[in-house]
Amino acid sequence: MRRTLVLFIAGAVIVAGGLIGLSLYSARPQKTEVVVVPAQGTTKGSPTAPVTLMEFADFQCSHCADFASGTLRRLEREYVATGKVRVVFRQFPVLGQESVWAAIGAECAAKQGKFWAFHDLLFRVRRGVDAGAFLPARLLAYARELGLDQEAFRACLQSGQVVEKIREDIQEGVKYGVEGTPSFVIGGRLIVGNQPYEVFKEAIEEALAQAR
Amino acid sequence: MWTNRHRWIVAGASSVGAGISGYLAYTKVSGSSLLCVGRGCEIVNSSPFAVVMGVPVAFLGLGMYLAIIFLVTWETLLSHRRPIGSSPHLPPLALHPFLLQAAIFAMALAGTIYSAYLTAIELFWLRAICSWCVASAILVTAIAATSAHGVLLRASP
Repeated sequence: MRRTLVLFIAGAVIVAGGLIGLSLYSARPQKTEVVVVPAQGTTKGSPTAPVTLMEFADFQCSHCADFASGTLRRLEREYVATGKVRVVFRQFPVLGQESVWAAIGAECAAKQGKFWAFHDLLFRVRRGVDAGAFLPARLLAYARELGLDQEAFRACLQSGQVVEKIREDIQEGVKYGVEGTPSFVIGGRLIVGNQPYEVFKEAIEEALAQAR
Repeated sequence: MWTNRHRWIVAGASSVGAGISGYLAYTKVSGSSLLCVGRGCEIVNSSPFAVVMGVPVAFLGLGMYLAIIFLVTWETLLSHRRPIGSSPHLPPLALHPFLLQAAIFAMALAGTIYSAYLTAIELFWLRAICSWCVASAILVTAIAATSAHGVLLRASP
C-alpha cells in the first residue's frame, strides 16, 4: 500500500509539473501579425472609410488589452485594411492614477506619430492596476524603446499639453453613455465590453448598409 | 483509514470548489462580469495564465472537483458494502476504497501544487489577487490534507 501511495504521489507531481509547463508555454508572448493600415494620430484606417469605430479604453484595463490583441487585429484585417472602417481610439482613463499617466504618454507619442506602437506596447506591458507599469519613468523608457524624441516626449509629459484632449475624449464618451472600458461606438450604437467578434461584425455590417 | 468525517470534508469542499470553478468557467465563456472583491479577479482571469493550451483553467478545476466528487461517492458506497461472507480474508474488491482514497489524494495534491504555482503568478507577476482563485486554492489544499490524513493512517504499518 505504501508503494502504491508513492506511485500516486509521483503521478500527482508529474501531472502538476506537466500542467505548469503547459501553462508557461501557453503564456509565452505571441507573435503579432502585422497588418499594414494607414494611421494618423489616434486613428487607424482610411479617412474616407464609411464607418467609424470609436473605442473608449483605459490602458490598465485587461479587457481592453484583450480587445487590442484579439478582435482588433481581426477587424484590421477584414474591415480596416479594406477601407470599410476607420478606428479611432479615445482615452477613457478611469481605473487609477497610472491610467491617466498612460493616457498622457500615449497622446504624447501620438504627437510624434507613434501612437499605435505605443498603444500596443502599453497593452503588452500592462500588469495590473497602479502596479507601476505606467509610472512616468517607465513611460520614458517605453518612448526610448520606440525611438521617440526623448526631450520632446519628456516635455510633453511634464507640460500637461495633452490633458485637454484627454478631457475631451472622456466628455465625448460620457455623451455616448460610456461608463466603463472598453466601450465602442459604431454608427451611433454603443457596445459595452470586449464582446465576441460577431457582435462587432454585426454592428459594422449594419452601419455599412446604412451608409450605402 | 478514512472516516465519515474525512468523506464529508472532501465531499463538501469539492462541492463548493465545483461551484466556484463552474462560476468562473461560466463567466469566462459568457464574457459576463465577475463578481469580485477589488479588481484582481478581472486582471487574473484575463491574463494569459488563465488559459492552458486553449482550455480555461476554470474548466480544469471544475473537472478535477467533479472527478473528486465522483470518486468520494464511489469510495463511500464501497466502504459501506457488507463484506462477502464472514471470512477475514476479504476479496480483492475490498482494496478499492484505498485506491480511490489514494486517487483523490493524488488529484488534490496535483491541484494544490498547480494552485500554488498560480498563486505565485498572481503575487509576483500579475500583482493582482483573484479572491475566487484563492478560495479554490484553499479548498483543494484542504481536500489534499484531509485525504492525506486518512490515507497515511491507512498506509501506516
